[in-house]
Amino acid sequence: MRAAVRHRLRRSRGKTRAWSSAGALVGFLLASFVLSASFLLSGCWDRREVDKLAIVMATGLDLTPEGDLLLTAQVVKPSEVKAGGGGPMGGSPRAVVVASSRGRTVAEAVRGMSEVVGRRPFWGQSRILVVGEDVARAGLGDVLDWFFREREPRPKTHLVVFRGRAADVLAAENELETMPGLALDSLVSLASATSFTYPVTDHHFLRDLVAPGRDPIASAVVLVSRAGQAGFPGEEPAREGEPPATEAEKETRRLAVGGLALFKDDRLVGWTTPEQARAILWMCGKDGRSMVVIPGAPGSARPATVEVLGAKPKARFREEGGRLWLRVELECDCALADQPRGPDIVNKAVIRDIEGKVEERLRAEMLDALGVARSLGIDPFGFGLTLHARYPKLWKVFGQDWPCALWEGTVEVSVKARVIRSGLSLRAPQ
Amino acid sequence: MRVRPRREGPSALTEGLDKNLAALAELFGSPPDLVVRRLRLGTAPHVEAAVVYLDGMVEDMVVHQHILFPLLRGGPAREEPVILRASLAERARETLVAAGNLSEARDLRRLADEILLGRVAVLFDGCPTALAVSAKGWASRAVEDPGTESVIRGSREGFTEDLQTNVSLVRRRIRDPRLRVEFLTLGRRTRTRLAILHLEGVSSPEVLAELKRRLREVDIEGVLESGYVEQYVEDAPYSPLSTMGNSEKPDVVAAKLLEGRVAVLFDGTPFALVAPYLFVEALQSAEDYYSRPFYVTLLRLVRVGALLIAFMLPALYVAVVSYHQELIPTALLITLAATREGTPFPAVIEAVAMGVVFEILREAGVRLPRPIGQAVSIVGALVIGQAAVQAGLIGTLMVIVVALTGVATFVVPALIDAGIVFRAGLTLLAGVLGLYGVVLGVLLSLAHVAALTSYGAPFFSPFTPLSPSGLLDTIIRAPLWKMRRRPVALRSQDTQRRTGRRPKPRRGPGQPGPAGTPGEGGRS
Repeated sequence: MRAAVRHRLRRSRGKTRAWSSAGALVGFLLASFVLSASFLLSGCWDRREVDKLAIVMATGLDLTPEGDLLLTAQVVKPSEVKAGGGGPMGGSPRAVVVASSRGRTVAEAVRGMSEVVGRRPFWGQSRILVVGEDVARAGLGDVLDWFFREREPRPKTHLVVFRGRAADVLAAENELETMPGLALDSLVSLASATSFTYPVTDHHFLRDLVAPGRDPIASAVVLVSRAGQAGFPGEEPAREGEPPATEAEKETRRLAVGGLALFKDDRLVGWTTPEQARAILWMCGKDGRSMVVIPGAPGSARPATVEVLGAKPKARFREEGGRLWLRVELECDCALADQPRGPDIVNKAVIRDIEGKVEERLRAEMLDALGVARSLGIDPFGFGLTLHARYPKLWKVFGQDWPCALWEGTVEVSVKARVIRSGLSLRAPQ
Repeated sequence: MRVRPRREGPSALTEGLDKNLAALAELFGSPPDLVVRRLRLGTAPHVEAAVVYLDGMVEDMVVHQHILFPLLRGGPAREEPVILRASLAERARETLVAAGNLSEARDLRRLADEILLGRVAVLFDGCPTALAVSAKGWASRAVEDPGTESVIRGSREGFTEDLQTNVSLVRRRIRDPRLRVEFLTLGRRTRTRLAILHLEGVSSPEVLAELKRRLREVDIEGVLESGYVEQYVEDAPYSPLSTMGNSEKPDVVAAKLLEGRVAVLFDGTPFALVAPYLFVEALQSAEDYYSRPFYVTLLRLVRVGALLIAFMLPALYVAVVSYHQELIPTALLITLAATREGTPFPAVIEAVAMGVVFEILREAGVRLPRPIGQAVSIVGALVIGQAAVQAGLIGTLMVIVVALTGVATFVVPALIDAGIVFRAGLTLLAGVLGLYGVVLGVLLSLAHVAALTSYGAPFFSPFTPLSPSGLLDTIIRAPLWKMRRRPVALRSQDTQRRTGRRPKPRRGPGQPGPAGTPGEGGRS
């Protein structure tokens, strides 16, 4: 055993000698230096406690009369949203502070914001970016860069264009949610139920902007008076040249989603009605539900409603006499939602009749939407993208001056509707 | 070991009884509990003898009836002409002493050892050999429900502080003559006895040899608990993780022996050591094998979850709250900001302080008698939980995190101590480097765990190195009859478990099953 111990000792002594050789020592020091550096030099040293942050829920961008940018932020007041049945304190009507800061650039305005708020603004939770009409018309490309370059803002922020000043949107209230920013966000997100607008994100916008043959879109938001709430949001006219709302008027207005904002490159060029919006979205391939009102059954005072469950567009291109010929076919599955005094749905002819009415109605809407796009000289549908991807030869010919080539040619539209569900009843009570 | 031969010479027993007794008295320092009873043999009154034992270590009745009585009454036959005094001890063993377990001692040191073990020394005048008769009888705890590892279904027996009882508890569970028991004495002063148990033909000879070698080379003054020895013979003494298992339950030790492990039982403690020890064993409990597999599989998942919570939750909380606010769902973030509004300390300090408070409470509860301990924990919990939040010292969520972590810690009792170390480290890393630090810490910990071995077995087996058959008893617990192979890492001699097929219930009209009992085939 002693021999064994001695042997081990000798071995370990041998090891020591190996260690003490200069190269190994330097190697060891270097390794420990690198290892400790990996701990000490990298990582997130900018610790920021959650209670020291001003959590921004919604961001707004406007132009001042002088041409500067006005950044508006809706900042949460956490103490006002104290969770857990905080007794009489719980749920104050307004749990946010709206603060604005001015700057020649977005970054400058952002820095200025911390002076206004008094805490470090945190943009990581900002769900929605509301852009005022003037900024959008001047071009979004000039202002969006910060939102992609900076680490905190999420590229999934919803991009909304407001027909007016964005600051007004952020100041508007919602009865249900204590945080208007969240309310606005859910308003836009819920658009998939109506297809009257689309939750376009920053990222989405940017992608459309750089894609060949597609002009970007963004969701549009309008303020409607509470009295006019019963009216269809689409009937709200674009209020251009209207005098700015007074404080009292602001109190009685609320936000509503209204169609899409149409861009040419990064500049806002026009708006759509909700119906035009859904036609555009379906032709874009954005598969959404929507209610289509069609002429009712004979004998019924009210029209019938069919819900479009999903629509698939198909674009076929051809060259015809040096011009582009395009045929858009839309196939949609529908469900009968409401048909007062309607005949028995078991009858094939009845279904066909309903389908025909839906097709007629949708065709009209699509033509309407195409008309708007034609008049603005833009392609929000992404037809150019399809051409680019599927018909590269045609794209080579017509892609040079894209939207013009499209509108110089012929565009045909056809709709194929199928009623696949009729709800729980076969016939309505007569 | 090396010293003994030198000592044996001078301390050999002499022929003179007085001399021997004097030597013994000198060795022990004549304490009052050393009983020296001198007597003359009943049939040969000229022969002097003495009985020496330690009071309280022997059964008085046994000493009286089976040692003293025969000596006082018997002796060499009167008609025998010559009494060969030198062979008295041998003759007494053959004809007089009515005890099963006895040995002969020729030197003083050995005799003293025997006396200290609770044997009765019988010395004869003129005979250089003494008898050491086993008559052990001391106060010891009965076999009771073990304090740790309690089960709802399963054996209620736990080891006691008596080595012989412990060995018998295991023997009663494995009635196989190839269950080998070897005794060893350890501790220069305590001379604690321990028993190495293994199943011949199942356990790995290398593991056994290695364990024996390490035990032999242990140089320690006293062994009062198996933990003393564990620290000497484990593979990674500087690791926060233990690389030797311990158990208080004979059925657990028996199961480990059947798997091919080696167990060491100790005199003086109910905790046995088992080697090799693998990480997965922390997630296993005795009851897992007595309950139904599906339920146990869910339980295992719960344990893994609890383990992750216990190790990482405070760190993740700190990282997310102080660095990665964008990862928290908006509503939660606002709530969180609201609860933390006005709290004076950063989240790391809160987490560390609350962790310390929790450990204080736990420690206070553990050491105190149960009723007081409960009072302490209730008052303490109320004080931290309610008052600290109301006073605005800490956020509400922190209390939830600490409480959840604390409770989760107890789900895997084997890792409570290691958990504290890892948790503290990860929390500090999270406080300094955020999630990057947590990931770094977890990677380093994983690397450490994967690098450990226990008596040649890779500690993280069957995960790394991967052993598919071993996975049947990790996160999932397969039915017993599916677990055909012993854990590969143990390098068992007999890799196949003697686990037969499950008898299939026989189907048929009015036909009783021939096997009688439908159901699961047990381990054979």
